Amino acid sequence: MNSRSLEPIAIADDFYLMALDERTGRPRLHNRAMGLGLAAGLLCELVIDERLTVKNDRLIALVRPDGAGDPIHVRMLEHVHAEPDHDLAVWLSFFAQSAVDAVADRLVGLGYLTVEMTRGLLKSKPVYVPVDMVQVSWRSLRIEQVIARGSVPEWPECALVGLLCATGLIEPILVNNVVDLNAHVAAILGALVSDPPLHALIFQVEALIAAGVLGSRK
Amino acid sequence: MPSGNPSSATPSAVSASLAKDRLGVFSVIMFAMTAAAPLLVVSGLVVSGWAGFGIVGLPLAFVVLGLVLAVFSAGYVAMARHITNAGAFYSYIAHGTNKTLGVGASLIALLAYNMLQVGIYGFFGVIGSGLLADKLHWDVSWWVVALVGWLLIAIMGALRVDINSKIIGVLLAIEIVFVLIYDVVALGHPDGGSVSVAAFEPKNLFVAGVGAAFALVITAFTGFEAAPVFAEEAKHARKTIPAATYLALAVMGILYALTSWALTVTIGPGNVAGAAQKDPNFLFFSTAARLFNGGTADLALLLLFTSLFAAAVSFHNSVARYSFALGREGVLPRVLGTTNARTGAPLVASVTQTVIGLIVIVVYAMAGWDPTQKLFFWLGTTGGFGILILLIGTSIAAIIYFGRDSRGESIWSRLIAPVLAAVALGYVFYQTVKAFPNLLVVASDAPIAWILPGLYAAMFVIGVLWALYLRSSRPEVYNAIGLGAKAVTGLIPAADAYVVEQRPAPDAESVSEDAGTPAS
Repeated sequence: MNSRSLEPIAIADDFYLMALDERTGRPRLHNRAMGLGLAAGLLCELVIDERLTVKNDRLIALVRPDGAGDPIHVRMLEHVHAEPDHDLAVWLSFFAQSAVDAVADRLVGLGYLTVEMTRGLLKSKPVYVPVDMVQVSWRSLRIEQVIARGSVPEWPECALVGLLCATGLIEPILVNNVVDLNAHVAAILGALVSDPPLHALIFQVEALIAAGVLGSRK
Repeated sequence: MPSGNPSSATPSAVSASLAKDRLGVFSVIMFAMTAAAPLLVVSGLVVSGWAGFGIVGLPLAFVVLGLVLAVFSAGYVAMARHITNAGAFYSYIAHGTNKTLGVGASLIALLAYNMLQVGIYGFFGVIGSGLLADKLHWDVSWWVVALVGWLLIAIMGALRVDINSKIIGVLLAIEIVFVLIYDVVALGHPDGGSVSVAAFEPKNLFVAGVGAAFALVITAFTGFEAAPVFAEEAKHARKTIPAATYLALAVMGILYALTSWALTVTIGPGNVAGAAQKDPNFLFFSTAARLFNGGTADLALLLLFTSLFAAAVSFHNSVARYSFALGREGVLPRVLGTTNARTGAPLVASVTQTVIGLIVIVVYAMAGWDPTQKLFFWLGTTGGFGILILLIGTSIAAIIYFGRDSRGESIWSRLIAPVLAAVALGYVFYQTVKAFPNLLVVASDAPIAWILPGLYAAMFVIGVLWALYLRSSRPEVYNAIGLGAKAVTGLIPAADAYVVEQRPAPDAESVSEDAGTPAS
C-alpha cells in the first residue's frame, strides 16, 4: 500500500477523488452537486485555516488577500474581499461554476490526476483521469475507517463527512458494512453544529441541491 | 437575491457570472407555453365533455375562465416574488394562512396532480392503440400502449432525463400552426352554410349543470401556474414570471376557445353532442379527415400522441417535485426528500408516482373500465377540480398574506384581484360540486359523484390532523412546513444561530456516547 495515499489531503481534493467511480474514474455525482460540494470544500479549507468565516449568512475574509498560498484560495479570498455583501447561497453557486476545474487542476499538480484528450463527435475535449485508481478507492476507504472508529474526528474529516452526506455521496462510497454507521455519522454531523461556519456551508450545499430539484435545475 | 454592493460603482463580477447561468426570458416563456396543449384539450376534453354533458357553450367558458384566471394570476405572481418554494400551491397557502392548512392543501395538490397524471395514460393508450390499429394493423389494447408510455416516463423520471425543450417547443409550434389552419378551414366550411356564434352565447353555457363545463375548462388550463417554479433562477424574475404566466393563459384561452368554436361551426352547434357521442375518441380527427385528408388527420393524431406524452412527463415531474418538497419538510417520509447522487433525481419521489401510475393502469385494465371516459375524463377533470380548490385557497392566502404587509405590491395585486378571483372561483366551485354527476355522466345519486370530489375533503382532513399532530409532537417539523428546499432534513441537523466566533475543538467526549459502539 502506498503510504502517501492514506494521509489526509485537502478537503476539496479528497472530495473530488471520492466522487470518482473506482472502476471507471468518471464522476459518480451529478454536475451541480459536484460543483457545490467542491466549492464548499474549498471554503471549508479556508474556514479551517482561519482565513475566512461565515457569519449571518455572509462570508467574511479574516485576512487581507496578499497573494500568498494556494492560488485557488487567493482568488476566492479576493472575490470575498471585493464583494462582501452576497449571501452564502450566492457564493456557493458562484464558486461552484469554477470549482470542478480548479480542484482538478490542483490534483493534476499533485500528481493524482492526469489530463487526457477524449475524441468527441465534433471536437476532442480534455478529461481528468486518475493516475492510480487504487488511490481513488483508498480515499473512500480512509473515510470509512474514520467513520467506523466511532469517535468524532478532526475538523477536516468532520467537514468531509458533512459534504459527503449533503451531496448524497456517503452511501455509494461506503463499501463495507460499518457497524452503527448511522449513529457514527450522526455524531459527526452533530459535532459540526458546534462549528457554525462549517455547518452553515454544508447545510447550504444540501439546501441548494434540493432547490435545484424544486426549480428543475440540473 | 442580493446582487453585489449597490453602492459600488463597478458591476459585480459575482452577479454577472451567475447571471449567465440564469434562465433567459425566452426559456421561461417557452416553459410556461408548453402547458398549452390544444389538441389534447379539444380532441380529448372538449369532445368528451360534449359526449357526456353536451354543453355547447364551452368556447365561451374558455374565455370567461381565462379572464378569471388572469385576475387570479395578479395575486399569484405577486406572492411568488416573496415566498420560498413558489412552484407549489400549498406553499402559498402555508405562507398566507397557516402551516396546518398548508399541509391540508399539500395533500389535495398531491392527489390532484396524481389524478391529472394517471388520467393522461387513458387517452394516451386509446390514441396510441388507434394509431397502431389504423397504420400497422396491430391489435393492441390501450393499456399496453399506456404501459409503454408509463415505462418510458418511469425511466426518464428516475434518471432525470427531460425531453429536450427545443423538441417540445418545435412540436408545440407545429401543433399551434396546425390548429390555427384547422380553425380557419373549419370556419370556412360551416355546417348549414353560415358561421354560427351559438358557442359564445351565454344561454348555451349557463344551463343546468354548467359546473361540469367549468371543471372541464379549469382542467384544460392546468399548467398555467408553472412559471413561478423558476422564481429563483430566472433573469428579471419580477417581470419574466408574470409575463410568462399571462402569455400562457392568453395563448391557451384563445386557442381553446377558437378551436372548440370552429368545431361547433363545422359540425353544427346542434349536432356536436350527438357527433361526439358517436365518435368520442376521434371526432376531431374524423372532422380533420373530412376537412383536409386522411394524411393530415394522421399528422394531428401523431401530434396529439406526443403532446399527451409530454403532458404525462410534466405532471409526473410536478408530482415528484411536490413529494420531494414534502419529504424534505418532513411532512411525508423523509426518504421522499432525497436525491440520487449520480443523477440528482428525486428518485424515491419519482418512483412512488410511477408505482401509483402502474396500479391505476393495471386496475383499469383488469376491471375493463373505459379508458377515455373513466380514466382520462373522470380522473382528469377530478384532478382539475382539485386544482380549483387550490386556486381558491391561494387567492384567500394572498389576501391574508398581503393584509399583514403589503410588501410594496399594488392594491390591485394584493387585494382587489385576489378578492375578485376568490369570489369568482368560489362560484365556479359551488357550481362544479352541484354538477359533479353531470360531469361524470352518472345518476345524480350515484356514489361516485360524491366519492371522487369527497377524496379531496378526506385528504384535507388527514392533512390538517397530521399537521396538528406535528405541531404538538414534532414542532421542529411543523416549523419547517412551506420552506421547501431550505427545510431541515434528517441528515444535516439544523443550527439555531451562527453566533460562535471562536473555533472550538471537536467535542469528542460529549458525542461519543451517542455514537454507539465503535466498529470492530
